[in-house]
Amino acid sequence: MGLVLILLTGQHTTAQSLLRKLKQRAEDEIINDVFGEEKKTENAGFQQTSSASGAKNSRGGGLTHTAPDVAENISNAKSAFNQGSYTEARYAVRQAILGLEMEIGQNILEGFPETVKGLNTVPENDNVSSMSIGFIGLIIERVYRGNDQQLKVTVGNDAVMLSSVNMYLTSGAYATTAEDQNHKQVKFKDYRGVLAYDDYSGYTLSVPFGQSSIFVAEGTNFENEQEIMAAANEFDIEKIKKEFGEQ
Amino acid sequence: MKKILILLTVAVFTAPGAFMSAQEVTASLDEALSSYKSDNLEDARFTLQGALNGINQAIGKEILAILPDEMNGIPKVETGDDVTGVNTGFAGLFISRSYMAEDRNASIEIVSDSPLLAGINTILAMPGFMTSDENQKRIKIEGYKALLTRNTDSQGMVSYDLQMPFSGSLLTFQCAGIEDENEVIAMAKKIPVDEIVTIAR
Repeated sequence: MGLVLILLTGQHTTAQSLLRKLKQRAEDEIINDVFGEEKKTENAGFQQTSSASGAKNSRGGGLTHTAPDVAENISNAKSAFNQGSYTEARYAVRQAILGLEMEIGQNILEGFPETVKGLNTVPENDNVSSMSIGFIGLIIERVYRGNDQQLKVTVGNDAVMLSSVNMYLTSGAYATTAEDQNHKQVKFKDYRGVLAYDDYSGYTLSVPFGQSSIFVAEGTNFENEQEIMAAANEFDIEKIKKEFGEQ
Repeated sequence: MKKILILLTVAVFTAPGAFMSAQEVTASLDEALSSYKSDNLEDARFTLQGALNGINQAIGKEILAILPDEMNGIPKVETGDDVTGVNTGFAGLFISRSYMAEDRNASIEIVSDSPLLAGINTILAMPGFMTSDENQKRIKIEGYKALLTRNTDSQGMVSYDLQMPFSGSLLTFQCAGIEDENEVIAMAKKIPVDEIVTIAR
């Protein structure tokens, strides 16, 4: 803009001098580009700040995940309770329950088969979740995969998810909902369960057992009912029931 | 017949499981430890859940002891106090006290791990909230943010709900039959919030 004004006002000498400077600067830029010298830009300060705040972490050992020590937490709970420190006692009991549920979950996972109908365990997907308060409960998951098939087995104790299946099984509504082609009652070992199918997720077998537990097998890309039932049959519900202390 | 009725009443009110004594909590913890050591994990878990309930009851009783006996002339309902598991079967910490007068009533409830917490915290953290609903406003009780809601039923009866989240728990103060918002806030300020937070967290 300054250059335009100068040219319009006829100050040729100044304009020529300015043009020379611009030409020189352009040449310098080209030489710097060729020889790889860093450009000095007006927002260099901003870039430095931005680079400092966006530093990438390149070290750190992550978090250690060890289940709480059950015996130690029970002892802590007892002494805290005796001293009238109830919130401390509550925390310690919840930690103890968490540790116990983790142990129960691991024991159940150990009892699961390594392979099911040619599908292999995906060890990194083994999961035990506990809310350590009892009423939402303990959930244990394992995933098996092979080719395009996946079997996900979930066992829940005191689980909220139990209620809907039990409602279905006890409501008596099944007989009157003949149009519901995607759910059916099935007999699995000695238990009554619900087998569901949908095009997106495949087959889901849900079997409540004991007083407050449920076994769920979700099969993706299973050919038919028989195939998912045969895969689920590889799991020993009685053994799981024993681990949960269920009748 | 009268004797039988008295015996039945005594049996109901002294039924095991209604309240756990301190000795029972300690005994449960000992039992859980011994079950755990003998590798009976499920028994240990079941016993610990009972002990947890007992500890929650002890916390609840401490809180009930510091709640006011009356609110602006409304006396507490003598048999209305409730603590975890006694009447509700709820697994977390649950404490409730009711106040009742001829034309007005009030109640205080404290629930841990409440499913309502997330929604209330969102509203309290929203800066533009003041303009969204004329029946709701944010206030502070002893420095704690709370959500005050005015309700009017079909017969024109006004009631207020005050919800105050703290440390994963929710304190709810409700009253009906009082029109004046300032009176409601003055009543709410009688609740020893700071002490409750210290005990329950």
